[in-house]
Amino acid sequence: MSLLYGAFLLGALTIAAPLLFHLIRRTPKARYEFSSLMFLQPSPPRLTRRSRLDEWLLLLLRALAILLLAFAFTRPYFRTQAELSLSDAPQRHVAILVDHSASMRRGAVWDDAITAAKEVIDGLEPTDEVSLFAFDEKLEMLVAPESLAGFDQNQRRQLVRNKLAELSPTWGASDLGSALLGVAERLESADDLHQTHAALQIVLVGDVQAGSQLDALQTSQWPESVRLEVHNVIPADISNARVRLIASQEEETDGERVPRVRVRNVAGSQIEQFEVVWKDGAEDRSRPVSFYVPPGESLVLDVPLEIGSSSPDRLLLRGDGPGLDFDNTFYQVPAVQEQISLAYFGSDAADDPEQMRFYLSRAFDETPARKIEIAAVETEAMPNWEIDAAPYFAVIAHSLSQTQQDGVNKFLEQGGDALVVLSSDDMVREMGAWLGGVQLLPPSDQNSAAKDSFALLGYVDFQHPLFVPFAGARYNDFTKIRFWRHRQVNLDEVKGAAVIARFSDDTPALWSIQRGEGTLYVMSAGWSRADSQLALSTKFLPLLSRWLELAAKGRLASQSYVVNQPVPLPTALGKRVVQTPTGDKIELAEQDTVFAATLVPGIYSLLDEGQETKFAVNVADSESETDPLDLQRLEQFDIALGAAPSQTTQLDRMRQLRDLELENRQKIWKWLIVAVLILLGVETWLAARRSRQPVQVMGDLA
Amino acid sequence: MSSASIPMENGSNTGAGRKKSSFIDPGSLMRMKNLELRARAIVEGFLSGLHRSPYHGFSVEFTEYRQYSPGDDPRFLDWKLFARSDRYFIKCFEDETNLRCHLLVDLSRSMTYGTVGYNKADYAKTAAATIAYFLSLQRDAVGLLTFDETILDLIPPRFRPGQIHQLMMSLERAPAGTATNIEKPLEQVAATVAKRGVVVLISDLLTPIGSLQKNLSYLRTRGHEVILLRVLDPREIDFRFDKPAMFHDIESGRDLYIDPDAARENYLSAFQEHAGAVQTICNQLGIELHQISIDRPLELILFDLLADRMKRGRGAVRQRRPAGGSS
Repeated sequence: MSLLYGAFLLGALTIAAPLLFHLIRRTPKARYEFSSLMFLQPSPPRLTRRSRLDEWLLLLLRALAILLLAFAFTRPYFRTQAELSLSDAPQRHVAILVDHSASMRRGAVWDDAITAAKEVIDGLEPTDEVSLFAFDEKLEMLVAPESLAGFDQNQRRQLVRNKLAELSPTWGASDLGSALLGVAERLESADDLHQTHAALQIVLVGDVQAGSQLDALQTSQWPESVRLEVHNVIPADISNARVRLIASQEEETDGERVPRVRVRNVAGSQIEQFEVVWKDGAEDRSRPVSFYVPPGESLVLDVPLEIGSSSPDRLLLRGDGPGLDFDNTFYQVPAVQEQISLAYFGSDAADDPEQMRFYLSRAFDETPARKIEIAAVETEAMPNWEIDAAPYFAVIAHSLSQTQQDGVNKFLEQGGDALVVLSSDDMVREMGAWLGGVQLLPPSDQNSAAKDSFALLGYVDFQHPLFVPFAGARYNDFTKIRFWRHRQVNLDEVKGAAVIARFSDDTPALWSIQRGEGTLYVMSAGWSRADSQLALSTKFLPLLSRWLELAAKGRLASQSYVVNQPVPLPTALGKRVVQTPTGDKIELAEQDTVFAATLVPGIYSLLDEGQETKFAVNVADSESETDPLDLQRLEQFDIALGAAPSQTTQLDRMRQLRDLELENRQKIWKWLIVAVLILLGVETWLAARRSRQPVQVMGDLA
Repeated sequence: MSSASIPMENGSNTGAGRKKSSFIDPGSLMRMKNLELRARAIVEGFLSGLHRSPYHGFSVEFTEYRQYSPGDDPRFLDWKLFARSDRYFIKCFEDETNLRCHLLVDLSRSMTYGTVGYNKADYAKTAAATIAYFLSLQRDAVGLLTFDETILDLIPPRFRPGQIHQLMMSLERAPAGTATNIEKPLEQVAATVAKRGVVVLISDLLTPIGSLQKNLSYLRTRGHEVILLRVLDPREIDFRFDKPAMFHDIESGRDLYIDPDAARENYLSAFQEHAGAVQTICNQLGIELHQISIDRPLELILFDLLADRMKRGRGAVRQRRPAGGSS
């Protein structure tokens, strides 16, 4: 005999109540009126001694009724099946996911995290499976969820402990979203493989900072079976500040360069007073600049630098709390201004706002990194484009003479890029052959409606390298750009033409043709005011910049990267070696197009046949956003937060369910209630008989 | 104050008690419905035994001179004496021969308590009626004020035909009130009665002591002679109840479970403490306090009053004032 709700047995204690009431002297029936009770205090009720219970049979009946009632409430049942054992309940599989991104370098956070992870292991039940993962931008599997042959649970745990001890924080940014998804997928696949139907649990140990990337969670559905428990390691001091150099035109005054620097202080920071200084390895290279940034705000300030001195390569922020200096250094390679020349074949004046050159010449401001000059070719002669004098990119806005066509062809063959803007129907007719057979549509096929009003871009190939930067949902809206006029052309005869964009009337707007090493882009409408609003659009400058980037080909596109960002490499001249900030030299294979081992922030140098190119690698900005992440954001992605039930808990639940079912079938409580009713009937009859009033008839009825 | 120090005047422990047979039993007296008849019966019984007492009457006559002090009314200067002695003297006359008596009768609900066949209110009414009747026989002016927490009825003291009848009617029809508030009637008397007289307050004084002292002293400073008759039921004095019961406070309606055996001692000590406090106040103010059990013959009250007057006549400081022009 077992009980479903044993606690109800406590109800049996109420049999003490009739006994107690029997013993307590009742409130007397006598009632006196008295003039004033001002001199009286209430007397406490007193127990009277009764050595003998008068109506012991009645009392017994009542007590028995109460007992049976309490017993009925406990829902008794008989066990008929064999006991459930622990192996009947599904196992629990716990994956410990440790954040080892750069922000974990703060203060004692890393040690705390390792301690927390070890506590998680210690708190596991003996039957729980455990695996270990670590993540920054990449997910790293340290102990696989699949059970290793020949390893028992204790050995696995020891293995996890050893791996934890070996683990150290990296300089990467934390991509929490994809790490969580990755672990969840691993857990699920391991569970599917072994058909264990285990309770899957991820225990996230880390600082769970606001700067963590969660984008991956948006793209995929979170598996329902996996629960996430977060062990948030919050440092005692949540202060943190970071420093960044702003790429802007520097002012030069009195022999000083004045680069601008942004310092950001996190909300809730304890420290407000800082100092920024330029450094070169060990020595200060400028006067320190002291300033004050309130918590949660950022400040842009000038940090002057003498021009004559050797260029410092890092910016150091002082004053941040102890142990918080992981993001206090900003590396930068002293900029060498690149002279870029752009050839413009067109006769329009540079200051005529009706024409294209006006906008082209204003599109590129001078920056510390580059200076763009536009060389206009107005005559029919071809300028001398020898190796050094060749332009970076050519824009062709009017029909080329034969010599020019040959010159540009040669330029293209050697790897140059050019853009042809078909600015008139005549130009199509004149240049059509050179462009590989571009023809105007016959007038009968031309869409007159588009001629009368305007055309929009109806199709853009965002896979094409030219439009890849616009692929994001925020940037891919080209419907604001109206084309008043465009040349309706037919590319049927052009070999190798890849249409990148089409107008809404399905005529090509932009296409590219491979010519030797180089690429020739053709647009059927320009950005002059008569043609379109393209020059006014926000897409204009990024598009031109993108052309320049693509034209740069091998050259190092940028000199500043973040940790773990692959650095695109220029075409090899010979044997290439990268020297890391730690002094290691990494030899690159010939076919390598990127350098991915940017593991540490600092200055890297790429050595290629005696040519040295430097680039700086910094900690990602998002790592400096060290405020704790609101866990509700995780819940928004349907992630079930909280611990998964352990095997024992599940076993208990299963037992309860089975017991409920058993009890439900047996229903002994009904018989107990019937017994209670019978007892009460007898009690009523007996009480009626014993009472003084002659209620024999009533008693019989009862 | 110990219980022994509080004089309890009832049928058994006074000197008059020995002549109990010569008094009318209050129980049988109370069976007379008519209050006036009752009063007359008592007073006549009293007068029949009065010859034994050497003291009767209220006033002792004499006049005196008092030295003039600035502010005295120059009308009362004795010019002949001034001529004789070259000093100013004021002629002090006795105020008047007739007594002005105010009977203050508490008719709060606690007064309706009684265990001897009649209640304290009946006894208090009879006592008041008796005193009124007795004084009216002496041609003294008697007034009446009945109260509970408010003033129920007010008859100013006069001596005129029908006054005593009006008093009796007022006493007879007085309803049983609610709680006791002794302050108001005392304030009222003190405020309205300018002429000095005798104030007889008949109450059980079963209220917190509170401002009793202030109000009584106010009366005293107005020159009134105050006599306090505290009427109590024998049960209130000895708390002789035999079994535990719910006790119902007839004033507040509160119920309390009381075991008399356990509560008696506390009750008695609290009661004595209260009584002691009242006694102290009366002693301080020169007020005669008579604590009377309602099974005590009513004639004895008249004896008490006369005895008080006599005591005052002998030794107490007389409070006099210059005789006014009016009577």
